[in-house]
Amino acid sequence: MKVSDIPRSELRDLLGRGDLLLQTTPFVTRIRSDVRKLAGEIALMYGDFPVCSPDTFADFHIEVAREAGLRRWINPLARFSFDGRRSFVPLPSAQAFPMLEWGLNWCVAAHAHQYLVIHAAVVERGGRAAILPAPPGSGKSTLCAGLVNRGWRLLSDELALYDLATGLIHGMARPVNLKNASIGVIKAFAPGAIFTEAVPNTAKGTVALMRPPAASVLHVAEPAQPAWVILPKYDAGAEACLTRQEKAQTFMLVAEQSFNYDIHGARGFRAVGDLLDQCESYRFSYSNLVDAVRVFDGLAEEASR
Amino acid sequence: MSLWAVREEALGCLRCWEDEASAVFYSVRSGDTHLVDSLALEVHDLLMARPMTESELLDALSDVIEPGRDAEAAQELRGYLLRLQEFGLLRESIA
Repeated sequence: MKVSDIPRSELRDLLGRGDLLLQTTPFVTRIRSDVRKLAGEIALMYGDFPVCSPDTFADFHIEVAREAGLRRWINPLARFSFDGRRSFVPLPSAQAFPMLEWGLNWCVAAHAHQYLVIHAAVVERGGRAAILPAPPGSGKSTLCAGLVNRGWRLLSDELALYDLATGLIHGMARPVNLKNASIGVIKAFAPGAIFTEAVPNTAKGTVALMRPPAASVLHVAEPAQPAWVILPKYDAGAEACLTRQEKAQTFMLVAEQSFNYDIHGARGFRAVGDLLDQCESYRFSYSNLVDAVRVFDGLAEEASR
Repeated sequence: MSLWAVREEALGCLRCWEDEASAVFYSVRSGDTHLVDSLALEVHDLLMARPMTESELLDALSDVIEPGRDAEAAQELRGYLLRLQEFGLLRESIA
């Protein structure tokens, strides 16, 4: 059964009881919430995701709950909890869905040490994955959203899961988190894409999430072979430009953008080295998504010859 | 007289790629990863062949040292080797 098969009132009941088990491959996430509008946003963004039965083992038990007392009614706040422990500061309840997404990212980054977890978007074409590691504000999610609206498969806009045993990349194909001007850019670039309402005044500015393409969700269990590590940078007015970058330099950035590189020690060092052995390494600047997609399509075509 | 050598625990912890001027080194001792330049790679390769004194290393590196700057180069090499020792790549021992 998928989320979209569940009537809204039942979805709200499942959330209220903490019985909504979302198959966020390769994990299962149990979600509890009494924030009323969250059911609608989960239905909108996770409609294509499978739902597991309540007795399924869940990797993450999370809750987005309204704060008690007066704050329940005046400028209501919501709080994120993980495994029953309150985490992070409460946020306005209008930010409940972005908070759920940020919280779930944190759950994966802080606990999924069977992977090297890299702060990177990942898209795939022809079985080959392009890994786009970058610090916030680089235009990584915008580029990712543009590519997945032009035939690339979404693995992740935020967390690349590098399997240390197989050397393959897994993704969760979850909603794409867009900020500020990039929301309008993607709405204009992909008029058919589905978004949450834009939420202003968050710590990251105005945010909106884009529903992942159904085909990406359908194939989420298929890992991809890393082929390119590309460091993106939005540069206003710049032509789309792909330049080779030394792998040693890229290594340092991947290590820096990995949440658990230090935890893995020498194994993490070997993993990043092995990842770069099988990839081409580039720096990419862009200001226009049409040109950016053309460059990426060119890479994929060249690799398939 | 002191001899320089690659630390045993550093074996397999230096990674480089063809035609690149930089390499990365993982220090087992500190858990830190360092970006090192092509000279470090050259020193590493020379010392993997056999431990050397600083003057032997200078001779081996004579191709990349500017002519007439031997004294300065010797002084800078010492500082450079000490830095690689601090990273955990090399060790200095008394011969």
